[in-house]
Amino acid sequence: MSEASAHPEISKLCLLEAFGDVYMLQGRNQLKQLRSSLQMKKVAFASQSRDVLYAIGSDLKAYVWVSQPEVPIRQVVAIYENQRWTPTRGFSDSLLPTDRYAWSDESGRLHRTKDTAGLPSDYWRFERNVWEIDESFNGQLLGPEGWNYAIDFPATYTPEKRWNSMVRRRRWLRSCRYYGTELWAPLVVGDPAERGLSFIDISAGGCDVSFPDGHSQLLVWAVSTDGDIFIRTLCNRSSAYHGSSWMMVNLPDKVEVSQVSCSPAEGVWAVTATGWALVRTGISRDNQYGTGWAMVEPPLNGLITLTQVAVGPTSVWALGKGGSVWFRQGVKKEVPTGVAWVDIEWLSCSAITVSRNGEVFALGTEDRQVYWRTGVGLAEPHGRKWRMMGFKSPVHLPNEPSRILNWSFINATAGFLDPRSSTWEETEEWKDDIVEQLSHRFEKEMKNFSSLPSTVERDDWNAVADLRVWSAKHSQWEDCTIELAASEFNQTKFLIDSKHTKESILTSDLAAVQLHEHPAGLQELWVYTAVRSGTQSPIRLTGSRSVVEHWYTILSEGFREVNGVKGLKKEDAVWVLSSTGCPLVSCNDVTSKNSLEGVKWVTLSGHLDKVESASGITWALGYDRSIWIWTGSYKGKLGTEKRVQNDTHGVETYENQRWNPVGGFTSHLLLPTDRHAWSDESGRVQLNKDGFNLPSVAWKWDTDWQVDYDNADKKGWQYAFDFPFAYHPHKAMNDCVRRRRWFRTMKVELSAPWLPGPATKLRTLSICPEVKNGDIIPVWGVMMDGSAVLRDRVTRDSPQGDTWISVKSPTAFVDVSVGPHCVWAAAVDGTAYVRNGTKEKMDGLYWFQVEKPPNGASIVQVTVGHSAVWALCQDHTLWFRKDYSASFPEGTEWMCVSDDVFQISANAADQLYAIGLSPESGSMKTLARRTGVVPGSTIVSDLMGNGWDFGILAEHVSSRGIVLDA
Amino acid sequence: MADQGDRDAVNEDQILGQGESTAVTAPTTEAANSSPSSDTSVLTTPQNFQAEPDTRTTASPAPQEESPAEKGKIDVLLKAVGDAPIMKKKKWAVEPNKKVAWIADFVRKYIKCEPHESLFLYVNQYFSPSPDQEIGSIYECFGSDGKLVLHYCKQQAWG
Amino acid sequence: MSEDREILRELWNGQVPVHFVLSSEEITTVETPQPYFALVPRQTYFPLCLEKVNRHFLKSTSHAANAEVWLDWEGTPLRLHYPVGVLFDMYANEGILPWTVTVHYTNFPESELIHLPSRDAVEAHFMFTLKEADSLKHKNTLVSNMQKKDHKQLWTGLLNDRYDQFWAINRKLMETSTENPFFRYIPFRIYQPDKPFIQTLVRPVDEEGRRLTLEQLLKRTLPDASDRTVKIQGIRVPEQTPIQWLSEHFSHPDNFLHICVLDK
Repeated sequence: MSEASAHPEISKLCLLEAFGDVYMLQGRNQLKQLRSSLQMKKVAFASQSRDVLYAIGSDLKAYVWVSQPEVPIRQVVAIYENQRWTPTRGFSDSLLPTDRYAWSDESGRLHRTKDTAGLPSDYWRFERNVWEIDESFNGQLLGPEGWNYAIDFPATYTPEKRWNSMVRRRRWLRSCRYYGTELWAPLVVGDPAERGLSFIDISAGGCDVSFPDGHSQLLVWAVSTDGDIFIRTLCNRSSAYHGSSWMMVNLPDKVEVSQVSCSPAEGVWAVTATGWALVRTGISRDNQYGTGWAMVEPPLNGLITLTQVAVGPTSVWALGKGGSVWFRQGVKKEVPTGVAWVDIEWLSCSAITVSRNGEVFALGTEDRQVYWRTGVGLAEPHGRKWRMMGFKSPVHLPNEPSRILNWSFINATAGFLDPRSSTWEETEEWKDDIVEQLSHRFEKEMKNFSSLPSTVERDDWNAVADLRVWSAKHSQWEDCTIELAASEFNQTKFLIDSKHTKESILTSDLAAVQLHEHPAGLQELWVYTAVRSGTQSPIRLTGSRSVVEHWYTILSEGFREVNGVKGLKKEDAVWVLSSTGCPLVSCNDVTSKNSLEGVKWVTLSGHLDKVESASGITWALGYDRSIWIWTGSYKGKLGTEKRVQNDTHGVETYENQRWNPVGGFTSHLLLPTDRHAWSDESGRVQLNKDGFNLPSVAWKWDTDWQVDYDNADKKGWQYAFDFPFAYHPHKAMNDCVRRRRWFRTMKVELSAPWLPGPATKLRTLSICPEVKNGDIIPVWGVMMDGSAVLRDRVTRDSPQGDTWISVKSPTAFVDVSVGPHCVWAAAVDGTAYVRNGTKEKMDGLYWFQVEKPPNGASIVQVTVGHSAVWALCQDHTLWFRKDYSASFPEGTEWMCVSDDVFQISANAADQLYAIGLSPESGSMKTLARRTGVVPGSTIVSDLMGNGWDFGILAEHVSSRGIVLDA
Repeated sequence: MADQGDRDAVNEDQILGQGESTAVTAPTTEAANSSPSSDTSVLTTPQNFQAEPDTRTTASPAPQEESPAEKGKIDVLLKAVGDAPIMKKKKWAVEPNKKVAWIADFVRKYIKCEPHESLFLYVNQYFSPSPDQEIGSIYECFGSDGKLVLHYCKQQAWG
Repeated sequence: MSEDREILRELWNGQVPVHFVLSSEEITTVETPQPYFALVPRQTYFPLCLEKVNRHFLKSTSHAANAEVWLDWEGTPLRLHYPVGVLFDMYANEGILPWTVTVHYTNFPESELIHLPSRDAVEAHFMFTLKEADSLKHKNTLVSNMQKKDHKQLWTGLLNDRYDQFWAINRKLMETSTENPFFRYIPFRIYQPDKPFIQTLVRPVDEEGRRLTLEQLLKRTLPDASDRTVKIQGIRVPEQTPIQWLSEHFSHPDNFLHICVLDK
């Protein structure tokens, strides 16, 4: 929900300088000027994920600024070719007089030919010279001719000609691309009547509003010079945020408006020419523009004339004539007008704004500097004091000193700002310098003299601690002590002592160390040792959080000391992610080991949901779908490769209630067989709202508990006959139970060796294996909307690549896997697609659709090896594609391999690594490798293997760095 | 080291009793700093303390009782604590580069401390400054109303 | 920020390599004793950590048993009431490492050094310096309102090299609030070779609420420092570093920023 400012270029707010130049405050408080010859009078910061701003120019026209997006904004212009069947000519363009045009738009009413089909505006250009036939319709592939048949215009169209099909049509597409980025583009004027409109104010909100059909849109309101108020319709990405037209909104009789402010969530306030406030009423999920207005008297019974109002996600602030500042108390969903005005002292302000996360900023009238309201929060919604923030202008010329600018306007509606955080610094360069120097100091003064004795006895930790260890034999937790001792071999020894367990582990015995989190807030430390009587079960320890985390650090460091860093830069390492999102990398040779038991894993820092490592580079995705790229090292002692990685993670719980005749729906009278009043989705685990702990001290809560209104009624309830049945938003006659989903996000900031990757969020990604040094590495991804993209110019030296290339696809995807010869993808409808021709052309030539496996289950994951392709279905079954080869990449049929598989990763050595369930680990996901595989063989059973070998617990694996030795 | 002739000079400061705060203020140097309140502390010197001699002048002159602060000297007000004898003349103009040790030594001689007795000096009645600290910098940081108040005593009073 | 915590730890753990040599005047045996090499923590004071050194040289001199130790570097007696790191930065500066220091047990230079004959004396000196820093940072002093056992914990934390123990109390002296994110004045001392140290009142913010940097502090107190090497805790701290941050993170355990300004 909140966009973790992972990238230094994230904009926080926009400022208007006295002369009309617009500046954006970015990242670490640098000011970036939006260069333009136009002077602006008002500016509104509309969207943070890609900088979108609206402004009113000195010519009183409305403008929009769209910053250069990672993936270009495109629209597809479509026209239809319509034909009718006649006995003499068959299908032809000779149509009945009552028919539509031979070339028309979708409705058939407008004449559109290939030559006349217009671009939305001057800022769009067609990308290719030719029109192309649309080969798909409703997700189905049509023939290359692309015809759809029907009885008549318009009726239901089908791809096949039926006996009674008298008409047919096909769609021609030409994509056009928006080129109006990084400049102020005047908003397209549709209706001639709009041409005369001049504006004095504009406000853009709605960036946090969830629209019913999932498409996001900005809510743009503007005030004309006549005092009327308008809405800009359809301000979404595909219109490049220009929207389509201005729609006037009725005002109460004789009221003229002078200013408007729209909240990033729900809420619109305006100020009238007479200084009163107007509140938009009737705003709901179905109607974000509201239905009516309510008047609010200005402060001091009308003595004060209001000049500006600013609406935040949960608060409303206003300015009076003369610069007085007012806070509207009591604004709630039920009482949108609030209750009273509160006078905010001591600073006279000329402009005020509220950010997306509720922080309040204002401009001082006299000094024209930016002030921040400290202490704004639940306890004190109007904050405590004003604190000045100094932002220096960027330096243009080498000898020009940076100066303090004078501001005339400020807007932070779409910005996510946190002036309280320690990262809110002008620049942290000095800190990086300090860290680096300390590292040199350590080398110079201590490392080179490490053999010298110290004059102090130094032990940084308690050598002994009390914990509890799991005894599998007795199925219970036992009190134990863990102790650090020196051993004969100049190593550290860990002694674990309990009633039934006595373990002595040398650091060289450690295979992996993991930290696991349970939803109820407990932590476990899992210690895997290399030699443990054939089983894979680790030693499990638990105890108080700080002690467990402390020993986890000690054991990890001990492990690292012994195994060193040699293993890590190897390209053929296997990567896994633990259930806490923590990456582990294999640090000894995995392939030569007969069993995964002998593998040692180094823990890296990070919080990730997916990782992919192949051809010498490693990309990963956080839980919030941001891309991260490994810096190639591990978290060493203040090494110069230190970076910060952050991620957000959502947690949820369901409030469950049953209906009874007396009290209606309540959670008190749940049946004994029912789930808990507060539970997870399955209902099996009890999850009270306050039972959620942050996984470690690195985490903080980002939002408070919120209700999910998706597919639910106005209060967030979903109804059903019983638990668990189909849930629906409206209570039906015999619905006896209901549930409501609450969610909350937490944010983590870690010192971890990951660089922020390209700013786009991805659902999933795949890197081509076996690419030689110096060659371009194909990296494919699936964006959040399901479209397939390819990252251009990725090499080992430049793992970031350069730009995204959109790959035209007939459908939306959920997974993609790139192999040396082709690309496989899993589609939303559960089938798979193969893209061939990737050897000739980076983004390939054609898509072929491949059917679902025989059991009809939907494919959710695919992975391409050297001689084999595998697919994983929604029901956790694993399938092997028979007869796959470079020249015949679509194979012939699916063969069932196994079930209880959760994730798969095949590599160029034809090994298949997966996440599955081992007989010993019960319901905990484990790393697995397919046994009995003969790489490069042409015999199916050799490639499919015959069983599984299990390793450590993991949630996700990527093995694609492994290649066949020549 | 004390200036003999000035002992009997009439000066309001000399009449003040022990522990009272000064009502009279000397011709003011600009009270530049709003330093903590006029509570004073005593400088402690460890048992075997010996003052660092002022290396600049061989025969160090006594601090002058006329306190022309314009000459760059610092007004130091010495207050007794506990059973330490009260100095008849409490206010002294001291060159800013004199060390704390020098002042302590001066006070010892003035109140005729036995060699085995210790003398502790305090600033703000809170801490003892380091003996090698210059009185000028202490005045800058902790002086108020144009002077620096130092408490002295023979036992450890604070801390 | 986790980086800040790492910096605190790194500074606490910092040690310097010292080469202790017994002064020729002290040797009472035929053989010249072997020098003693050791890593000495920057944050401590020499009188607290010479036990092993003394034991080592005991064999070679008749005085070591209960004499007061003092050290010199190339003839200059070292002020034992300064933290080890400060002395190292002033004198070992860019020279050969380990830093060679001569050990004496007799002829204490009364005119040049202050006696710190016992551990208690060092403790008193440390606590007073801490209180002085407290008076500068806070209008109402915090240390005076702490319990005696907290004072003791600060001292024993320093004495026994216990970071967690020390910082459990010290963090209260380094805390600021959103209301009041700055100290009143920054406790600092500027050392130069052969000069008395400089200590004045400097606020961490200017009248407009902007953070003061190290550069500005030096401009106000020692204008010619811009041409010279400035070191704190052994590193050349960047000029744009805010002094409030420096005070919170780069101070020695006595809560002072010890700044060494050396000729280039």
